[in-house]
Amino acid sequence: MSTDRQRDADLDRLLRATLRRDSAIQPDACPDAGMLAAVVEGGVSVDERAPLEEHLAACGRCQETLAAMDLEAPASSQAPTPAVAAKRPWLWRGHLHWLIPVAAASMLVIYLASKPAIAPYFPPGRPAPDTQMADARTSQFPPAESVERTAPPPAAVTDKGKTGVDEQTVLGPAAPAAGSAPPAQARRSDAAAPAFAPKPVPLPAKGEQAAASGTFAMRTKQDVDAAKKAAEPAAPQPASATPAVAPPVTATVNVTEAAPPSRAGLPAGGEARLTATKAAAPAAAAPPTMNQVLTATAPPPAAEGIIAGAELSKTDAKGAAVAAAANVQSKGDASERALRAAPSDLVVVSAPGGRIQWRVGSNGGIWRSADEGKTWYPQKSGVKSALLAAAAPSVNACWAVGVGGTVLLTDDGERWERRPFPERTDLVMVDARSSHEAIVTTRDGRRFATANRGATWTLQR
Amino acid sequence: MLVPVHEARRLWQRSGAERWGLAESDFTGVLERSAAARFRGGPPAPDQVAGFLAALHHEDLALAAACALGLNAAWEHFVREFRPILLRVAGKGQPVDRVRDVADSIYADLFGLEQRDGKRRSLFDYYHGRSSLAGWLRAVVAQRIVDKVRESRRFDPLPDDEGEASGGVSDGTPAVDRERYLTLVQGALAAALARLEARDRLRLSLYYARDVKLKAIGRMLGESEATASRKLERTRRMLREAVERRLRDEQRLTDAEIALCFDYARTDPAFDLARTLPPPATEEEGA
Repeated sequence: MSTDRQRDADLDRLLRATLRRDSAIQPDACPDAGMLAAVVEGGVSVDERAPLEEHLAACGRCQETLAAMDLEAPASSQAPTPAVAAKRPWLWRGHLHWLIPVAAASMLVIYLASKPAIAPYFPPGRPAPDTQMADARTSQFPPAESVERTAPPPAAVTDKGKTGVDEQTVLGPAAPAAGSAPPAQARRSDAAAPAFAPKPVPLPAKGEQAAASGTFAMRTKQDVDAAKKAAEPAAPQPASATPAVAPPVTATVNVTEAAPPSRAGLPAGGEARLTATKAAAPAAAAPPTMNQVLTATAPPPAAEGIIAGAELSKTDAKGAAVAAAANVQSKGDASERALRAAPSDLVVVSAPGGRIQWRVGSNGGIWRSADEGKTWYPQKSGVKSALLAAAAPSVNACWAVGVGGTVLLTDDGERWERRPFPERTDLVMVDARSSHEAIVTTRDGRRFATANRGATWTLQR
Repeated sequence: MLVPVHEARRLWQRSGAERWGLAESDFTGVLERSAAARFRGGPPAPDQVAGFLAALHHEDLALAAACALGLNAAWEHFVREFRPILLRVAGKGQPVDRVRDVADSIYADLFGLEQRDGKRRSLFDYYHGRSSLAGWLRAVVAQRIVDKVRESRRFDPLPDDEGEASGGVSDGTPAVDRERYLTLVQGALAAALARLEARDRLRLSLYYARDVKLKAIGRMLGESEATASRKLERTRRMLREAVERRLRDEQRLTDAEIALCFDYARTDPAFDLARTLPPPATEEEGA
């Protein structure tokens, strides 16, 4: 009697014998070399891809061609035209290219060191996304009898979005508005003062700061100095604050302010509710010490997949800002968690009404809340790319976009599907009128519009 | 005319075609040809054309067009930059003499030694810019090599027929029963495969039949290696469950008999699955 593993091996042999039988498809029916290459490079539309895959799944000639195309060769092996090569900065032309992995590793170390804990975001027993990715990478498909398969590559060397490095950290967060404070991450190394200063310091009037909303934005040393020099001599300064310390407030970088999307393509009445508030890392100048983090009481266990709102409140800019505005002292675990450094890579959007919310971020992470952010449920995005922006035009529809031309759409609020995009370029913004109509903006400022759920895209002028 | 004049001009400027001395009219002609091939079914909407044009590899298209016209600067650049790609793909797992033959024939076709109606025909005329030029070149070389190999297979001597399965195995099962069990399990597997989505079948075929590695499969299907591995595992699990269920429910085999089916598939050296079933239904029969 076969064992279970033996049964699997037997099935492997059967599959190999069955699938190697050559089909009798005429060569004239095969796609030309250009279409084969376009399929490999993602250059075909979704309506073209389905019939192509049907053919490829049945055609031995095309399968052998694909196998012979050296698909394992890195994409960079493609010879660039001089225009492309000239556009590349000096660093990419072969000079000091070794700096890139070193820089990436350094940023990873800084990022991990600046994130006190990611485990509390997930219920006990459920690994964090990076761990899940590592587990997926280490799981190896059983090797065939005599053909050596490569094990999944080490976690540090994979395709985009799979390096274990938070892409948002590597690429940098979205550029804040001119004049706004730099992200808190840059200031993490300034930790010296007590975790929480008693009184926040008013901000200089710079427009984009969240003063208008009643929240406090992050202060940097420059802001502190500017505040001193500003016409507010009576502004109280924390007695215990050192020159390098800023009050422990949460940074609120409003992505829409950084590059406000043009609403020209959307009718005023049907404008999507786009609230992309980027919960950036807070309290850079005065983060809690490691002891404070380690001794903080663990959050109450939550049901599988449900993340208590309190744990995610640290990522909620509004919640954290409210806590900061209330002059929370370093007294209890709840206040510590509320002001603990939050991941800087989560974008929050609300559907009309505010009850339904989504969060998107690195590693294709998507969470949904149906109770105004009190509890969150993870959703399967099907991608590992970093998601940079989102828009929720209705309670059931949400668009999410990110690096490498990633476009995701749900129109039932639960299941996400990837929509094709003509370029593998980073998409940093999305405006959506409905689940059918949306406009995305690339990192270099170009805008593409769709009116058919992302089946086709048109470059906007 | 599918391509608006202003759009053609903008793309011509963006493609750097002037570097090769490629005229705007020639570049526009290439764009028109590419768009016509894409929208063969009927007149497209303007936004469809605009989206299609925006997604093309413009620099590569300009280089290919300039090479097709025999412009020296373009050809020199192509030979310098793309020859390594051609040789690497052509040489992958192939005997040296075949590599040289393939490379030489491709160079000749790219240059356009063949003349038709007094006009030189270049292989570059078939490049439509929907993929990178390097990717297209890899596909061209791969197709040439595959066609040569497949043609040579027709003239390779057939393997010696090892005969039918031995009259019995140590368990004393008659040969007819062995053949029956093998046929049943293969039939169940074929039925299960037919119910898979094309994408899953393609993934299986590339892995099992063509020995393509997971990373390459993932790249082709736009997935990570881990995703390709996970989906492959899931598909195989589904197939196994489908095969066992079919043998149990439809063929009324016991668990012991199902185990025999798999055992015989593993141990029978002469079993040729290709002989037991007719070829699958294809788009066109013959050859």
